[in-house]
Amino acid sequence: MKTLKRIWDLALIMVAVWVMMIALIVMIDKMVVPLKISVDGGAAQTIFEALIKLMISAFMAMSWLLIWVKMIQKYIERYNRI
Amino acid sequence: MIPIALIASFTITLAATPLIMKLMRRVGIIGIDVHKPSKPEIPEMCGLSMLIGLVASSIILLSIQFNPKILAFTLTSTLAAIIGIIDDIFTLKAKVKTALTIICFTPIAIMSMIYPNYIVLGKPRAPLIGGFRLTIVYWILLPFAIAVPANAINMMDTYNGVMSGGCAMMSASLLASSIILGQWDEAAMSAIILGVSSAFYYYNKYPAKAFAGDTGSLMLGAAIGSIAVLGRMEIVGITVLMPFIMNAFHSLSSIGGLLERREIAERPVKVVGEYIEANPNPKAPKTLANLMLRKGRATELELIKSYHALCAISSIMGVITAILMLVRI
Repeated sequence: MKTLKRIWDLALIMVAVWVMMIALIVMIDKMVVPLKISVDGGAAQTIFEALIKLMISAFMAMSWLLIWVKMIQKYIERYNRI
Repeated sequence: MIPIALIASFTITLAATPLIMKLMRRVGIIGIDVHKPSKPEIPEMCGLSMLIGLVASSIILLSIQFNPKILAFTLTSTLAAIIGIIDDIFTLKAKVKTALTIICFTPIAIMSMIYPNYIVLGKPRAPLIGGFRLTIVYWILLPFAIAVPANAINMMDTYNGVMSGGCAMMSASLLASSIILGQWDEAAMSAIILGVSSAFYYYNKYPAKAFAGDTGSLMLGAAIGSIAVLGRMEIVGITVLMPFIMNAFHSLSSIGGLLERREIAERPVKVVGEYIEANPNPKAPKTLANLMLRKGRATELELIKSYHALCAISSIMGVITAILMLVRI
């Protein structure tokens, strides 16, 4: 019981991070990957399109990491009584 | 193959550890258990017995049937263990050690080029969508797929049995996930890790009689990373490693980069008699121990139980992730 009390918040953060990770993967697959920007489909435009998709995915991944950090910061603020 | 891998690795490690402990005491490779008031001397670098267990059981499996995946897994783990041995003897700088672990992916990369039909890289499986294809990005990330788990597990080898017990739970999760996904080679590799880590846990559990050293922790981390890569179970790997990644991620971000234990001015925790307290100094690394102890001081055993509880949760999450890989939306 004591152990569960100690880890409860961190376990919740861990589960939230995991759920968000899976949601992120699904969002990238369903929304970012099918994205069509180029019209004529030339080599330069295909590379440009791939780069845009990569940047959007990287931005989403960074946001995920940032939310994770913010959750830990909130936790520290809440238990900063030491 | 799975029962053979499990029994062989467990038995060999269980038998080899006392011999390695004696050897380390004789040559003076000793560590201090700083979290105990009596500060006992414990033989270090005993993770060598896990290397013996892993290599010997891999040889047994390879002699039954040659398998490029098991060979790549063994070479990757051995390479990480060699880096650990060098670090245990000469104490490398944190940046040098991390840079060296980055090269541990080379056996997998080389074996995938020699046996492209056996070892498929760049096609990770993912929950709910089946999988995706990464070409250039995957090869950029591949070195970190081994280096990150190796260093994350190394960073959490701070309390008796946390690393070995955590790795035993993670490998059990990887074993179950491999069976769910029908990845029998990876199931055998996970059984090897389950065998060596649970046998070593017997000596490493509170109060520890043996320390794994970087030899053991880097090897186990690289082994778990290689199972994830070889089995296209990268997402399961990230999930089971979550407490270890959390520990590494928050402590590194709080101290502003890679530093060796001796280079950090403030310790994350303070030992007060039989209790461990979080270090209130803002410069103290925000390790999992520091975060958990913010709720109040604890004995070492209570803290170890908390670590194990988090590892148990992430291991269950790993199995759920594997089940979700069979679901398509």
